[in-house]
Amino acid sequence: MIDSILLGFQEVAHWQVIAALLLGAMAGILVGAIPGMEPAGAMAIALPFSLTMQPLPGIILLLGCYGGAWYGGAIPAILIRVPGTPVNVLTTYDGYPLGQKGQPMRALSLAYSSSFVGGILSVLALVFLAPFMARVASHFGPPEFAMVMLLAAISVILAHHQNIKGAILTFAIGAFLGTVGFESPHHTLRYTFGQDWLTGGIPMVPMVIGLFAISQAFVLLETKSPPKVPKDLSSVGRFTGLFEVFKYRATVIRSSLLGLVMGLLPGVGEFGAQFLSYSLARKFSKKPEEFGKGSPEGLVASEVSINACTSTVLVPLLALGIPADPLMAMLLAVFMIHNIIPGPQLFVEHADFISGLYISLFLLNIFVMILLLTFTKYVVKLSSITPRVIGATIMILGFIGTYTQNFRVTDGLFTLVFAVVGRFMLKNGIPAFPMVVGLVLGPMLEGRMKQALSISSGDPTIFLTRPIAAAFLALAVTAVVVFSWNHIRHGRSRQA
Amino acid sequence: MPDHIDHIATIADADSEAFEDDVIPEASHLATALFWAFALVALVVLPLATVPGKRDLGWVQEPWSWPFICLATGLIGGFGPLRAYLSERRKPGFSQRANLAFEGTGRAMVYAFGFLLYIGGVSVLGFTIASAIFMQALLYVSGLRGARWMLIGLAVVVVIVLAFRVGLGIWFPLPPVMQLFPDWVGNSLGEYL
Repeated sequence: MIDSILLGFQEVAHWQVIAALLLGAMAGILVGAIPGMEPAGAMAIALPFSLTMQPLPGIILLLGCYGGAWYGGAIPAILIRVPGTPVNVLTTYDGYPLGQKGQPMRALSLAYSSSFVGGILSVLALVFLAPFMARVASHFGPPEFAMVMLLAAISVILAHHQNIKGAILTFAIGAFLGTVGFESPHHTLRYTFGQDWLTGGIPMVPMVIGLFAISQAFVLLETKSPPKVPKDLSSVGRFTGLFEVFKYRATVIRSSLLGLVMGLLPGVGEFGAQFLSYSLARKFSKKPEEFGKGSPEGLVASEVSINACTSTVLVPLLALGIPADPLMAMLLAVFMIHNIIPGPQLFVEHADFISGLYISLFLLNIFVMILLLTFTKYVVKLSSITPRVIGATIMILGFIGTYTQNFRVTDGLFTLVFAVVGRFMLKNGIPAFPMVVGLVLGPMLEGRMKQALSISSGDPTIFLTRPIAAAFLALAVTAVVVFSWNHIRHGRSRQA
Repeated sequence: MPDHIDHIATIADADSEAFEDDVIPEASHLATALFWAFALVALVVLPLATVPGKRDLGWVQEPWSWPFICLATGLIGGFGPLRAYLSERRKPGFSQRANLAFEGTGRAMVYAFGFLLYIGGVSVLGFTIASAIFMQALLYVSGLRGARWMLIGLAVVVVIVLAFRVGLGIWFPLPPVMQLFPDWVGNSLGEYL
């Protein structure tokens, strides 16, 4: 144990890791602070660069973009009532009114501190849960893994309940795109039509850059006016939140637990957690009438729950090797390129890496917190950068990310196609996340299914006769049945 | 995302329309129908796009099985919006609203075409020159015109070049355009261009 921790520190004590921590933290904060940019887009741009780094700094760079954005997203939410990222929407409810009462720095400080508490608790949960889940997963064979993946796929689809049919379709198309190229066990080519550049399949990097970064750039290039931010932000009160957050201990504990659990569920994450957390905080609050009018407790509830998800979303990836959303799929790509296979063996074969990752995640939260407490005044000014300049910059960064991976024009073409498709999906409310998850999870599911059915000589009852696989299958079926029942009931009540 | 919030949030709000982007149902149905059509075409060409396995390992192991399962699932799951589109398409005003699905796509295509030229431009002019031209073109097309924006665009490209070419050492092949200049130009400026 002590050995692992020391080895972890040795992993972290490298200039590349420290640089990745700082760069990731800064990039994340900026992405959050500038409305219109999303962590998925920033991670997509950073992905090709992270692939060229050592595994730990590569992962940390991406996690910095991801985790830092939830912290930074509070800045425009509190100051200009525009959520920096989609999950910061509830931060506007109480953060903005609190800021309007002449206490913007207090509101920001409280938001950062709440995020920090949620973030640290999330890392602690990851430290304890991931090895436990990995021990359980060490008893899994292909049928169990196949059923876990099926459950994850269903969970991702159901998480997009506002357009469930679109989510099924895009997940299926993503999984189909994952079948393009070389196939086993027969070693034939599928859907390549004699084109050599399709033999390797549809590459993930151009797809995510196109869907999440360039499509976002198209929107930004059409966004006319930058939001107006307050010009003089006093630094007074920037440390008050550090102590104030602990006045709401019950809310912190409740929201953290909700965030931790929601983070474990594929596709659910921050958005669901904050609503549930906010709702419960109001229910149990001594001053529920203040919610929505600048209640510090409401602000704490939403920010804690958002950041409590940030590390537990890693549990399914690290312990089972299952990417539950596109952000985790990008992390999986970094793992795979360095031949680090997530799953139960990861904790045995790369214990030093895992310890390094845990320590880095703690440090990441600390770095983000220090940066925000020190430089908020300057970060705020970035919120007013002209969106069209940001859009044009993203286009060039997206090109660097796409092209410099393999110097193939076809990668650029893939990016373009997915960018236009992504813009079209964005405009029409068709979710793009399931498509990327489908592209990554689909081939994994296919492989495990085929392995499982090889073991049973084609007998599908193997998924019912093995208890763990059957349990996962039952969970998947239950989730679908419960969702369908609610959907039908909701439809009937609307008709009535 | 709503810019005006006038009530107190509860868990029920996660499902409310206030938290959906402005999506027109008719347009969304048309867009989903197009994805559905893509899946259908992919399924139709399945026999041409795959070859049968050489050994008899059962249908599940056949090369066609997984694409078939994926596409069939998508077609069944995504049939609802297609049905809605087909049943409502004759209603007055429907086409007008449905066609809004393509709003903004034309501009996106223009930017995409620019991006395509940029990719070609990099292999001829080199990264820096092509990026500078592309940046100016993007700012111009998006409506940011004038000397101030030209300078800002140039400054952004310089920062990108310094960060990625010089700082991170990202390599690009020496562009053919350098052959038009004396050797010392390529030798001294090559790493920046």
